Amino acid sequence: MESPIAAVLQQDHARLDRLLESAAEAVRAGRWKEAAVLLERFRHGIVDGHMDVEEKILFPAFERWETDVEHSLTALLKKGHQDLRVFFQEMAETIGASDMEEFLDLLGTVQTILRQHDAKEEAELYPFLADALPDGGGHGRRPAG
Amino acid sequence: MAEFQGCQLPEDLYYDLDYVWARPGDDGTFTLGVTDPAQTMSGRLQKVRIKKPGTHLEAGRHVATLESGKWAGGVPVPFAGEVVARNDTLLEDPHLINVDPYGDAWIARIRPDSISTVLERLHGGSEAQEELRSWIRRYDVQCMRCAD
Ligand SMILES: [Fe+2]
Ligand SMILES: [Fe+2]
Repeated sequence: MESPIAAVLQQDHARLDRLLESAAEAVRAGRWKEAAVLLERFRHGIVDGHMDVEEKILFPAFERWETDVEHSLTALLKKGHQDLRVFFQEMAETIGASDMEEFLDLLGTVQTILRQHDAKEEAELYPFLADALPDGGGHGRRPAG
Repeated sequence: MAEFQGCQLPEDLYYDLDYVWARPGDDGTFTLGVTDPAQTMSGRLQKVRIKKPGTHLEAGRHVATLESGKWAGGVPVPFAGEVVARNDTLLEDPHLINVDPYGDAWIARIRPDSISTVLERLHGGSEAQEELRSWIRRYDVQCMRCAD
């Protein structure tokens, strides 16, 4: 059975995907002000909420628990976060410049990265958090946002 | 040329110790590209976008975006500067990066804002070689030469 922590995090991926899609819809309709607000809501949710919980709590717990001394998985995931943060900034700039073509190009790239990143976490990291977290993840912080 | 797990690591280049190599030119610009282990990890590339000449980039911002079938990622500039040239051939033939990452598949030429930050961010010699080997070990990369 899927642990509660894994389920919560997986739902958060889906919630963030919907937020990004709503920002994209506003861009496609040329509603630039609304797009800026929605993209910022997405950025705040994923960077200050989801990724922050992963990097401060979940990755360190997993690294203490796993036997891989290289910590290859979390190193790769952290690299992905860094790359994504730069892409989010670039997306916000294309909205500021009302550049739909450039935004949609970036959107495609970001969605590809997120799909692969999230699938990796859901398959290789989240299923082990119940064992890796000291309290089994039952009272873990819920991702903010 | 130095090689580790099949990956080529030219000793005469500078590296950001992650994805990017840099070759200083006589005119104060730096040619950038991605390393052999980085192109291997990306898989067969199908799409490349490169910032236009004249674009100014802060350190860490993407000068290019690469996509294979299921993977995508940005190529960050190690230092702030202006794009002075880009390799338009790659826009037509992204797979060239998998074939000749240190030669014909250079990505862009950048004129750095200040040379002191360049030296801070780039690494060469045995230090770089050692770091790149541990990068290859960490991500468990095995390079294979593409014939086509
Ligand atoms: Fe993540
Ligand atoms: Fe996640």
